[in-house]
Amino acid sequence: MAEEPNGITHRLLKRQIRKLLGEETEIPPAWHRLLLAVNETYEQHDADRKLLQRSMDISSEELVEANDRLFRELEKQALVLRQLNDSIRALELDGRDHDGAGEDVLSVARILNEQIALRSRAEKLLREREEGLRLILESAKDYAIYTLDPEGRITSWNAGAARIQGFEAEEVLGKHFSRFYTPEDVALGLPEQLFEEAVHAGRCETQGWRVRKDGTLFWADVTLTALREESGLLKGFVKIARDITDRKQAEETLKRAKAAAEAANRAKSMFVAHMSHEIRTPLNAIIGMTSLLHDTPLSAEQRSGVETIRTSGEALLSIINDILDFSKIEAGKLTLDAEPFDLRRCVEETLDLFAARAAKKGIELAYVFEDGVPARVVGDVARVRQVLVNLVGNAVKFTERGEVVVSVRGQREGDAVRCRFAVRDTGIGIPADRRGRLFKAFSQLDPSATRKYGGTGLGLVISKRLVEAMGGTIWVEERAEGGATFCFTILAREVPVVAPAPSPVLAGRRALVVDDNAAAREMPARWMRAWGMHVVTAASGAEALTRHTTDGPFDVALVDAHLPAMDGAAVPERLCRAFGTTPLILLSALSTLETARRDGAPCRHASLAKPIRRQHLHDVLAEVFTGGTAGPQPPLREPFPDGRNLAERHPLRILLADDNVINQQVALQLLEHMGYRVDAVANGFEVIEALERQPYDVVLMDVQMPEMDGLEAARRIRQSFDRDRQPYIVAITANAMREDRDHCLAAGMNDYLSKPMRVPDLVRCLRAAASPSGDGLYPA
Amino acid sequence: MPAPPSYIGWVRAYPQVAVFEEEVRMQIEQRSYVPGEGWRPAGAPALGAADWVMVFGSREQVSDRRRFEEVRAWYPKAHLVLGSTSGEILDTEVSDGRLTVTAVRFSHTTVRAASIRIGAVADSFEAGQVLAERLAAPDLALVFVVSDGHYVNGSALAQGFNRRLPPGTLLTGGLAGDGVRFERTLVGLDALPAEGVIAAVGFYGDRLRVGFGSSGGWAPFGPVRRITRSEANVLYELDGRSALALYKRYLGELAEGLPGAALRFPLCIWTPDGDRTLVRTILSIDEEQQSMTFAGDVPTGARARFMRASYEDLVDGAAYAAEHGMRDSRIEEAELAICVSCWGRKLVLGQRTEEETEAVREMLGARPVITGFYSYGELAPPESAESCELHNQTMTITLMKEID
Repeated sequence: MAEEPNGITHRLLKRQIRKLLGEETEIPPAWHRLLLAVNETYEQHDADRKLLQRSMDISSEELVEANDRLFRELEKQALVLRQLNDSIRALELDGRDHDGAGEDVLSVARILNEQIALRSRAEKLLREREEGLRLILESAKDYAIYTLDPEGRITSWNAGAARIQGFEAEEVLGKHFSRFYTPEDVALGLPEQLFEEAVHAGRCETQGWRVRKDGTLFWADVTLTALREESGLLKGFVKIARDITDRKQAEETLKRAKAAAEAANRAKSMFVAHMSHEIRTPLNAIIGMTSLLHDTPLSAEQRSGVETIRTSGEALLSIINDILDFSKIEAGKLTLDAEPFDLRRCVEETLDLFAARAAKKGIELAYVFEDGVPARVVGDVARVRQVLVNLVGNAVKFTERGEVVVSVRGQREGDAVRCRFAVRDTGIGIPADRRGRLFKAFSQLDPSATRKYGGTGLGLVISKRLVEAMGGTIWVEERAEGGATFCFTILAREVPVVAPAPSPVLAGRRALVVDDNAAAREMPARWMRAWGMHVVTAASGAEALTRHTTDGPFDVALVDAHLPAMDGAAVPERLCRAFGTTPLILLSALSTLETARRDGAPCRHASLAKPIRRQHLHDVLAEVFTGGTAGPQPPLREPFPDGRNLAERHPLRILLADDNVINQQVALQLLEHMGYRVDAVANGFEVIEALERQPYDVVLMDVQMPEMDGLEAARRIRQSFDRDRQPYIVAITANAMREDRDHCLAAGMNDYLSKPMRVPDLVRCLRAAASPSGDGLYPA
Repeated sequence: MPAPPSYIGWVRAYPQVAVFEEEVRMQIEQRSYVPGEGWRPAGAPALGAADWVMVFGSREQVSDRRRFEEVRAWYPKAHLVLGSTSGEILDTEVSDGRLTVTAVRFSHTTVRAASIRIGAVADSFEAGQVLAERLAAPDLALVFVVSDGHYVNGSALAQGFNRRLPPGTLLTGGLAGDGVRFERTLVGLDALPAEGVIAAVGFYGDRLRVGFGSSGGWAPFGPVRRITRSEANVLYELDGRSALALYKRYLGELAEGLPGAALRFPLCIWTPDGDRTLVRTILSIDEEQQSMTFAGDVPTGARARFMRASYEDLVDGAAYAAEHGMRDSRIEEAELAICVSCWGRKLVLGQRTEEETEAVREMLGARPVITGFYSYGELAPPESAESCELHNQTMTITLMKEID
C-alpha cells in the first residue's frame, strides 16, 4: 500500500488519490502542495457543514424549548388570567361592570390598575378620616368616649374619659363597664338593662350617677350605641358620656326656684281672689243700699247722686269680678262644666244682651251659622258665652257705625267638632303693632281707650285662658277694610239631636227678604230655604219692587224697618202699597220696635226684633200662614213674651245670686230689659247678708255656688227670716233632672229655672212671684 | 514569472499602471511587496506626483521603516495612509503578510488629510468630531477613514464624524486589522503607523463622484433573543443567561477557537429605534467575567439574533455590495474601488476568500482598480441612510471617479 501523501487527512481525498493515481505513484512536491490545499478545502467544507448542521439542530432545539416554554407560559397566563378575573369580580364592589372583566393580560392589568388606584385613593381617604376621627376623639376632652366589646368589656378609652372618670386607659381596658355604676345601680341591674336596650333598640340614652376612680359621684349624660357589622352581627358598643353634674345641679336649683315662684304666684292669686271676695261684700252692700235709697222720696239732685253711686258701684263690681275670675284662672281653679247646650241659643242670647246697646248706636247685629255646626254640643255654656260676650261687647263698644256679625263654623275632628267663632266688627280696628299684646294681662291697647271705654283689659286675657281650657285658640285677624275680627275655637263633642220638623205650612211658600245688610239678609233666607221655602232677596226697596215684578207674587215679605227712604216715603210703606195683600214682617232693632209698632203701618202682619232668632221666625211665619191670611188686617201682637216693661206691671225687688259672672250679666241684662233694677251677689253668704240689709221680693239663686250653695242658703233663709221678709226664691240650675228640682223645692225654694235662662220662663216666674196669691209652683 | 493556476485567482494579480489615454482623469498605480521576493513590479513608480497613497499590509510589513521610506521617497507629495490588516486586497488577489501600495493622482480633486491619536482626546466620539472639524469644507465630497481597530470604538467614532461633517458628505473606511491575533492594530498618516491612530483623508472638488455599497450576506437564524445585560460593547447575558455559554454551545468543539470562532455567528442587533438592524462581530472574550466584547455597541434591551452564512451567501453578499455601490451612486465605470471586508468573512470563506473579490470584479467590470483590506470593522452609512455607522461582517466598497 502506497504511502499516503504526508499531511493529507481527508478520507475522501485519500481515497481519491489512491484510486485515481494508484498506490505507487510518486506525487511531485508542487502537486503535493496542491493536494494539501485541496485537503484543507475538503476539511473546511466538512467542518462548515458540520457547524451549520449543528447550529441548525441547536437552534431548532432552542426553538422547540422556546415553544414549550411559551406554551407553558400561555397556560400559566390563562390560569392567572382566570384568577385575576375572579379577583376583579370580587373587587368590583363599586358597582361598575367590566363585562366579565379583561380578556387578556393587558386589559386585566388596566382594570387592576384602576381598581388599585381606586382603592388606594379610598384607603388614603379612609386613613385621613380615621386620623381625623382619632384626633377628634383625642381632643374631645369634655366627652368620655370609649368602646366596648359585645360582652361589655372596655376596648378603647379616650383622653376625655380619663379626665372625666379619673381612670387611665391601662387601668380599665378589658374591664367591664359596670364598674362605673354605683353599687345601688348595679344591684338594681341597671347596667344590664341599658345594655339590653342598646342591643335591641340600637341606642340607649340615659342619665344617672356614676362613680369616679376616687369614689366621687358625677351625673352623667350617657349615650350607648350598638355597633353592628353589615351582617347584623354585634361588634360592640360606643359609649359617650358627659359630666353634666353642674347642669344637673343648676336644673335642680331652677326647678326648686320655679316651684317656689309658682307657689308664691298661686298664693298671690288666692290672696287676690280672697280679697276680691272681701271687697265684693261691702260693695254689694253699697249697691243694695243705693237701690233702697232710690225707692225713697228724693230730690232730683239726690236721685242723680244715688244713680251715680250705683253705676260706679256696678262698674267697680264688674272690675272686681274680672279680677276675681282672672285670679281664679291664675290660681288654677278654673273648672269646666260638661253639659249639653244649644250653640245657637248661646249665640242668640249673647246678642240679645247687646241688642239694646247696638240699636242705640245704630249698629247692625247679626249672626251666621254655617253648615256643619252642630245644634248641641257638650261643654261649658257659661264659659263659651263669657268669651262671646267679651268679644261682642268689645265689638259693640268700639264700633260707632256699621255692623257686628258673629259667624260660627264647624269642622269635624275625629269624634269631636272644632267650632270656630268669629266676631267681626267695623269699628276702630286693632293696630298691627298692638295685636301681640292684646291677650296679655293688664295691657289695654291705649290708656286713653281705658278712659274712654272703661274696663280692666282683663277680658281678652280671661277669654284666652278660657278658650285654651276648652281646647281651642283665640286670635285676631287683620281686616283690610277696617275693623277687627276676633276668632276663637273650641273643641266640643256633638250631641246628636233630632231637629224638630218645620211646620208643614211653610213648605213651598215664596218669601222676599229685603235688607241692606248682607248678613241680616242671608241668615233668615237660609233658614227659610231649609224649611222648604223659595226665597228671593233684595238689598234695597227699589230692588224689592223689581223682584216683585220679576219673581212675585210672594206669600210673605220680610222687610228691614230702617232701609233708606224711597221717594221721601219709608220703604215698608212703599212696599206695602206695591205688594197689596202680601203679608209683611217688619224687622227692627229692639229699641225702635215700639216706635214702629206705634206707627202702625196698615198691611203689617208682625214685627221681629233684630237679631232675629230662628225659632221666632219659624213661629211667626207659621202664624202668618195659618192665621189671618183670609181675614182683615190682624192687630199687631207681641211676637213673643219678651217681658218688656214687665217691671211696670209687676214691680219687684230682685236679688240675683250667681258665682258665674257671665251668667250674672246675662241674667242682669235680661232683667234690665224688663225694667228691673237688680242686685247681684256671688254666693249664699252674700245672699243672706243682702237679705239682712234690705228686703227683696225675689231671689234668683244659682244652686251651685262656692262658700254656700243655693240649697243651703234657701234653707237658712227659710229658717232665720221673718215671714214678711221671706223672698220668693227661684232656683237656677243646670241640672234638669226631676230629683234635682225636688231637692230645690225641699230646700224651701218656690220655683226653678233651668240654665240657660230663657226669657219666657223668666217672665213666667216673675209673674208668678208678683201675683198676690203667688201662683208659682209652690206658694212661699 | 510562471502564472499559477488561474482558478486560484492570482493570475491577474499584477495590474499595470492604469493610464487612460483618451482622457486623463484619475491616475492610479499599484504594486505589492512580497517578503522574500521584493516589490512587484520592481522599479521606479510612474506616478511620482501622486496625491494620495494607501499602504495596507500585515502588522510587520506596514511598520517596516525601510518599506515606509521607499514609498515615501517614491511619492514625496502624496499623503500616505498606512494600516495593518487581516489580509490585503490587490485587484482580486487576497494575501496575508504582504504590503500593497495604491497611489492615486487626481486631475481636479484636492486631497487633505488629518490624523489623531486616541488618548490625545477623551474618547472616540470626540476624535471623530475633531477630525471632521479639521476636514470640513463646503466642497468636501468624501472622507475616507482608516482607524485603529483595537482601542477605538468604531460606533462612537462614526457618530463623532456624523455630528460635525457637512450634510451630504460621504464617510467610509474601516478599522485596521491584526490578522487573527487581536493584539495590536497600527495606523499611520504620513508617518510610520502606530496604535490608537485614526487617519482621515478628505477629498474636495465638484468633479469627484463617489459611491459606496455595503452588504454582508449573513442570514439570521434561531430564536430572537433579548440583550438583558451589557455595557457599551461588552455583552454578558442574552435572555438572562450567559451569552458566552450560549456561543460555546453552538460552537461545540470549535469553541476552543474562540474568540475567532465566534465570528461564524455574528449578532444581528435591532436598533432601539425600530426596524434597522446592525451586525456585530466579536473581538474578544473574558472567561472570568463570562463576557464577550464586540466591535460595536450592544445596547441592553435590544433584540438580537444569531447569524450564519455559507460561503455562497458571503460571495453573493459581496457582489450585492458592488452592484448597489454602482447602482445607488450611479457610478458606472468607476476608476477606483476600495474594498473593506470583514476578517470574519475571510475566516468563513477560507481558501475561497478570493471568490468574493472576484465577484466584486465581475460586478464592477474591468475598469476600476481594486484595493482594500480585511478589517476589524467597516465604516459606511447603512442602507438608505446618510450618516455613517460601524458595520461588522460586511463587504464595504467605496467607489471613486472624476468627471470632466
